[in-house]
Amino acid sequence: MMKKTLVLMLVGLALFASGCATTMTKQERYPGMYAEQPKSILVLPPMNMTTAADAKAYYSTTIAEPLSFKGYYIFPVPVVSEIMQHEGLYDTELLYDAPASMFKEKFGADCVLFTRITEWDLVYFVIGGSLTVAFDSELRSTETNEVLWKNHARVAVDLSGGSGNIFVAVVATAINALAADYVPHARKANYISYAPMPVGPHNPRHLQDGEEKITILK
Amino acid sequence: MKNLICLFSLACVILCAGCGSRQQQYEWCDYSESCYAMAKNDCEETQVRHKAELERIVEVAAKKNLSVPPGIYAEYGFLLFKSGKPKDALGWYEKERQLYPESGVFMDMLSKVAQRQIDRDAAKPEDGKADEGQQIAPPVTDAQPHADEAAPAGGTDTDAPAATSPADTAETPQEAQQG
Repeated sequence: MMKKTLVLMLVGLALFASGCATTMTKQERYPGMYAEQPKSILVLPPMNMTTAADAKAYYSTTIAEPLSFKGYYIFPVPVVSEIMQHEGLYDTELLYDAPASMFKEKFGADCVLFTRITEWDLVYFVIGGSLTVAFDSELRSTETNEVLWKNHARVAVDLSGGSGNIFVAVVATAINALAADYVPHARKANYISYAPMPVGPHNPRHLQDGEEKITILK
Repeated sequence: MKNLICLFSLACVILCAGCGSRQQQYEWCDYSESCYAMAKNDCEETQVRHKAELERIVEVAAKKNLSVPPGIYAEYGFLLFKSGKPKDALGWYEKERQLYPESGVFMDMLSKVAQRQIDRDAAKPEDGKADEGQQIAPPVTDAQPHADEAAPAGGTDTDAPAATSPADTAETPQEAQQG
């Protein structure tokens, strides 16, 4: 009787601890990534659902670096976007429903990355502030049109600059606000957001990260 | 005591493994910063600055014995192309292809666009550069980068060898303006 109660309590505790998150391995969650083993990613201009006009440029110019470290060939983002404009492909929204195979033919890309920026909020405090970024990403195979990987990420980046001196921090925030240079923060947000993606062939851990556990928030 | 040493060495191993997976294989320098400046305002000044940053990335990679990150050579070539040096662009596209074979199809496309510009420059009576250095070839409408048709683009008289330009739409080079 006692044991049963204990077990029940433990189960209850476990459920409580996990909240509404599930944990599974990368291989279980994204089998397509391990089956198809894509080598290259074509990053499309993001779809911006926020009122922040700059969000798009911040995202596009800071995405290549984090993704390259994941071990994929990343097509040069500004070049791709310019070429696409010349081809009359301005609207990622329209491409979203089109078959992805065209990117195989034109660019030789193994998969395309669609991104929807859903949140881009700057909040200022007296000292410092924070930038909250959220986006939905979807990596789609140009071979099978299947979604190989998708993720919803919401990241809050602290803008206080970590200086212990209040006056310096205040000045720094004021300067930051004037310069509106959030490039490093946007880059950080991208680094964090793409962390759960299985790694590609240019990363030494290619095909060895399938057993890594990831937590998915429901 | 032995236990402690065991634990300590285990901790060390775990820590090292953690670091090992985060290998520094590229150095991007301030790529995002100069790229952002260019995205906000695509003009000669920001292009020159971004080009200098790309050069620095290549230099640092050589110095630290790292790989040049994906796309850097190609982007450098494309900037050269935009500043009216399509001949120089070809070499950098080739470098990108050598380093990253995954880029082959795209480099073919970019090389073809550059080649068409070279032919067009050659066809001009005076040894003309692309005015304003902003001329970009019209859209490539065929999806086959290896399509081998020697149809002169938009009716200009090309007499250069190995001109592979697909028969495409009328020639209306547009300004590349990013809003």
